[in-house]
Amino acid sequence: MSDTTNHQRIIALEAENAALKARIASLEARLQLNSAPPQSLTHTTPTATPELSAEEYLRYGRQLIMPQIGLPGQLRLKNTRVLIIGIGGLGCPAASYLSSAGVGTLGLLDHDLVELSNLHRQILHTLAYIGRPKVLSAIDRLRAANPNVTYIPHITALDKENALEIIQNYDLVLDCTDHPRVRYLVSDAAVIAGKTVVSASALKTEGQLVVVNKPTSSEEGGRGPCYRCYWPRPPPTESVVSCGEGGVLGPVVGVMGVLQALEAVKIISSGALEGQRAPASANEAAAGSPGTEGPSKPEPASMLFFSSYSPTPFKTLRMKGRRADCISCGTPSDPALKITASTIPDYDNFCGPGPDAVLLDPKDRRTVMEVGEMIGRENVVVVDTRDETQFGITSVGGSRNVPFVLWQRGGKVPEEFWRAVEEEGNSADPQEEGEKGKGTKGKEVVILCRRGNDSQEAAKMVMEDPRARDWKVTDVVGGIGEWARKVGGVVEY
Amino acid sequence: MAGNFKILYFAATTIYTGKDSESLSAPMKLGEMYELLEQKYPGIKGVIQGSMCTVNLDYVEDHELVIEAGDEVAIIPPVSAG
Repeated sequence: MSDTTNHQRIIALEAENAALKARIASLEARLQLNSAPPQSLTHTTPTATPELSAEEYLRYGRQLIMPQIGLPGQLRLKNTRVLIIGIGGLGCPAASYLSSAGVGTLGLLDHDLVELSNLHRQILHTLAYIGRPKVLSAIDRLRAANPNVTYIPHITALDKENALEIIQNYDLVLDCTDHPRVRYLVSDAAVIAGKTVVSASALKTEGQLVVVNKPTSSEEGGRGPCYRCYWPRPPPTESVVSCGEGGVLGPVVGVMGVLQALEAVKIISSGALEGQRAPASANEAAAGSPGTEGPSKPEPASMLFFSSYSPTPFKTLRMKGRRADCISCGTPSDPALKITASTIPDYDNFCGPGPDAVLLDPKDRRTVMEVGEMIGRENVVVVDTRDETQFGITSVGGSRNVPFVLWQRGGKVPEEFWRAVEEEGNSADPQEEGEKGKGTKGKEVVILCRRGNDSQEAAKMVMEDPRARDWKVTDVVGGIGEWARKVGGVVEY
Repeated sequence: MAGNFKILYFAATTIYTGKDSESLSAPMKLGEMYELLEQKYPGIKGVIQGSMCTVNLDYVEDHELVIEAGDEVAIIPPVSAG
């Protein structure tokens, strides 16, 4: 062979060699990615890890490069244990984003099982998990996206017996619950245990978010207001409305859950929680050194208020600091009032009876089957106290709609009720009619609502009104829901 | 200075007021406003007692605070659902 041919051959072989080396390097990188064991499978007790795996650098790359996070912020996330109380409309999006962001340990607490009516807003749950614990449903979904996180299930309700014990194993708490009873408990327990709570709520078209017991400065013990500082008196029981009763739009509660996760990421990555626990290793202590951007001085306490149908949907309300005389986080003038680990109050007494209270005597309550047979009789009037929207979804033929809000406003039996009963009475055989507008003796007025709660209150108000003295007044146990299940002709929703 | 201030109603307060805002005559002390609302909307007192009140986005509690023309007052009951 000539020198030129050899030379050309050498160049070609060198090029081929370079291409093959590049291919080997690329394949080796992929092999490393696929074979790195997910850390959560190798140990059950979370330990501080000084660094991230190659997979984690790639996984969190898009947030790692942000000055607000950086390597120190990501390590803080990894070394923080967050408890999410409530895996519903708030908890599902919150858990999703915190898991994706690389929080090292995520506790999920809920006693509830997945139901069909959850699925319009509780976005981690699926048909496959209906009837099964929400906590397991969520962990299954979360782990499929990020197995690096240690997931700790708490399939239980939170109560005064277990609250402190559970909360003290975590560094930060998210209140994603649904009743003032639990919200006061979470706040009281968090204050005692020295933990910060990101608390949000949503109903209909509105949402609220506050940070409870937030570290406010680098001084030891500087903390923001607790839940009782914002709301020292619980709301009247009848004004406490659940998503099931008041309704909620999925994206409204979704926005609030995402904002909770965001607030948690901000708090954790800024190092604000570091004062409350000792770093587990020297490397972690080093990670606490400056390098993450965040607010240069402590932000005053505020509440984020979301009003989705308003032209200016997001408002930030400026709060004062802690109340000096707060019975949870302050110094009340009467020391006996102060809430401590041994004096956690009874929240049922504080917040009032639960939603399914029974106000009427059993003799004043009808079953749906009884009323199903009575309907259509001349001396029977059925009044439905659900709101217009719900009455428009489904209703019992022949019933009259007098929405409960009319009863609440004015605090007495509304004129619309007397009119409706009068009109029904007048449509009866005029020979049987007694005094016009008063109805015959033997008239029965049956009050119906969605589940049999408002109907009891309304019935009680009518019974106590002298205008109804000649009537029998009853309500229907189980309301429209029970009617749909046992009698038919209406739909359960 | 005379004129009006705006009051915004949220959540459970709207059950009693039937509307989400209205204009009231300024100046008025915060405590007087609460009494006026109970007169206009009997029963609202219970919800108001459990609510937070803000004037121009600042949390207020002092019943002697004077609300001026152009102020925006909000009554915000706690929402508990989630």
